[in-house]
Amino acid sequence: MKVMMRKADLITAIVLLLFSAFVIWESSGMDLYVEFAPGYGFLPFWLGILMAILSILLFVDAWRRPAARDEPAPFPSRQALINIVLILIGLGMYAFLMEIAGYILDTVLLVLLLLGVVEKEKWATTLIVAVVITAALYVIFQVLLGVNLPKGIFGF
Amino acid sequence: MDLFQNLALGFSVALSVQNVISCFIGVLLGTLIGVLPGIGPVTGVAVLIPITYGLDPTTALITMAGVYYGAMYGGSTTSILLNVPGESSSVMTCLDGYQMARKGRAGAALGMAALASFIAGTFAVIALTVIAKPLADFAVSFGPPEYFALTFLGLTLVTSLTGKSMIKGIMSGVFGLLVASIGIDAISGAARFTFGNVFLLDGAGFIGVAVGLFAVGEVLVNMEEPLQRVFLETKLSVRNLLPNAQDWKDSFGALWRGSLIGFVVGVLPGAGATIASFLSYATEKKTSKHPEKFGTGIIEGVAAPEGANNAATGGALVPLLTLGIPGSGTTAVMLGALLIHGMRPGPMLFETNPAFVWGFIASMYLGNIMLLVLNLPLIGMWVQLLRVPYKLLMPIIMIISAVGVYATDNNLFDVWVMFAFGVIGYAMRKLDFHPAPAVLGLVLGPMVERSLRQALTMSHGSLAIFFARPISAVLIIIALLSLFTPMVRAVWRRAGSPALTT
Repeated sequence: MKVMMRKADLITAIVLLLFSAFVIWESSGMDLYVEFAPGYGFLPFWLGILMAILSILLFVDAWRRPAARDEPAPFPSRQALINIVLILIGLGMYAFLMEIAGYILDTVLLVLLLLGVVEKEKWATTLIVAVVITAALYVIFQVLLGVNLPKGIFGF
Repeated sequence: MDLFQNLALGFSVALSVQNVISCFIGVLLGTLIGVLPGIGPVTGVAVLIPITYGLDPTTALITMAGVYYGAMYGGSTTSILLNVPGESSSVMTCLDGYQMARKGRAGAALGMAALASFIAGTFAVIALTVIAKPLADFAVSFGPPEYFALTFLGLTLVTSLTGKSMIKGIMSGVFGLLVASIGIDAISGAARFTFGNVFLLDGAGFIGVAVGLFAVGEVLVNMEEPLQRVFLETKLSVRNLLPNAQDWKDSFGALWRGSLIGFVVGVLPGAGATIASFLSYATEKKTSKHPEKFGTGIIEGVAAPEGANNAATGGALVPLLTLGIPGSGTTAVMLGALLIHGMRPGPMLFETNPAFVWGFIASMYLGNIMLLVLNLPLIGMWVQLLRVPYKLLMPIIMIISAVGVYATDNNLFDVWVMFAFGVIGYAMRKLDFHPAPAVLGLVLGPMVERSLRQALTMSHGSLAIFFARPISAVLIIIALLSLFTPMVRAVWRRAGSPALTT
């Protein structure tokens, strides 16, 4: 099934309208004015209003768009989508495990996932690249820039 | 003369061992990023912020700017050899560059691209040197209304010139401004949109947001477009890289017009290297005695856009340094990085920190010479590099991003911010929301808000203050025109001829 740009725009407009409603609601609890001067809620409040107006404009624009001028929304193929989800899971796991597994193990694992699983590189090459990248960034950050990269529960 | 004293000071800073090495690393990475299609200067600069975080601000800026103008050199290589632009600013170079390569003149095209880049790039740095101080002196008298008008103009111009849809462009900018308002308000000290999260008190964090939007988001989009590469086998040696006398004669006009157009377009916020290259190519075609030959592989068609896109990067640094207003995504990211270093570009910077400003400007003379060497005798190396498997690129960028963002503060929260904005950046690209206005809003947000609130405090809440002062009135009117003319034009066009495609 192809998702058309028109439908994508309509959904986006609704999501952004909800987002701006949230911004307006949050910022209306802040000081909009202090004496004669704008307070800290002034800018977010009006930005929220502007965002809401733009969302409605986007909705109307998409609604009235003739079918002839519509084009398929460039959504990813199944394979690309799987890869993107895998990359995101990898990044999430990376952040989650950083201070548990430690920088070295965590980084090697992420390269194995990204290069070996997502890019389907040969495992021998993947392993070499993983070691090289991990070592190179260790040298750049820990040795040259003096950042303390985390050691994990295994002590490295 | 003052100018020479300033330059002498600049070179004394730029020629330190550390800065020469940083400049070289910057332009080297820039060329690399330019050569690789699918990764642009914004991504490169964003990824570099965490790495240059611990360095001296001058050194950090020298490196990041090296990536920025270095990418303009590298972008032509793939345009000429593969008909694939390395950057959007090299799209025009494909037209005649690739045709020249097919006729066996790849060497001359690559050589002219590098030389045109050098000539126009150096011209732009000279122009920047001359123009920067007077402009900064002029801007010293600006008050809050002028600053608000300037930031407003910067935002609207970038918005109206990027992306297909004006509405989405403005939304992107507003989104950036909203993200900028997260955290403690600098004036009242009250917390906004922090949801009880202590990390958000300092704001969402520029590094995580920028790397997410421009590195993670960009890489995710690239996962869907496998690049097809067809090589033209070329014999390259320095001798056949040098354009002959006839080439120089043909390109002379294109070179100086391209330099001039590029610089002027670069100075204007919103229009950048890409528009400059389109405009200069179009100008050459229009003024040429044989316009029909454009696109068949003539050397002017390479010299004009390659000169213009380099001159534009020099031009784009004028408003960044003198006014503190970036005109594009890349310069916005650079400004964000400088703010993290506690450097606030603007007219005062020339007074308070001349060694920084002039050291940076001087480094660009050096950088352009390095780039000429990297791109002329060593061009063969970059061509070889194109054979490196593309598969490696995604994992490398992802890992550098994640480690870099973590390392700036040893804080996992920043990595999660990067993650979230990576997803947002991906969705924005898919849905035709250009991320450049968002990052501009993010960087300019605090300045927009402070100047707006100060101005309205001065005027007791009346918006009339923006029109009562001549400079701010002119800027605001230009901004409003840039916002509404495209909209008016679009409505008018739809009413007049519905069949016309945009």
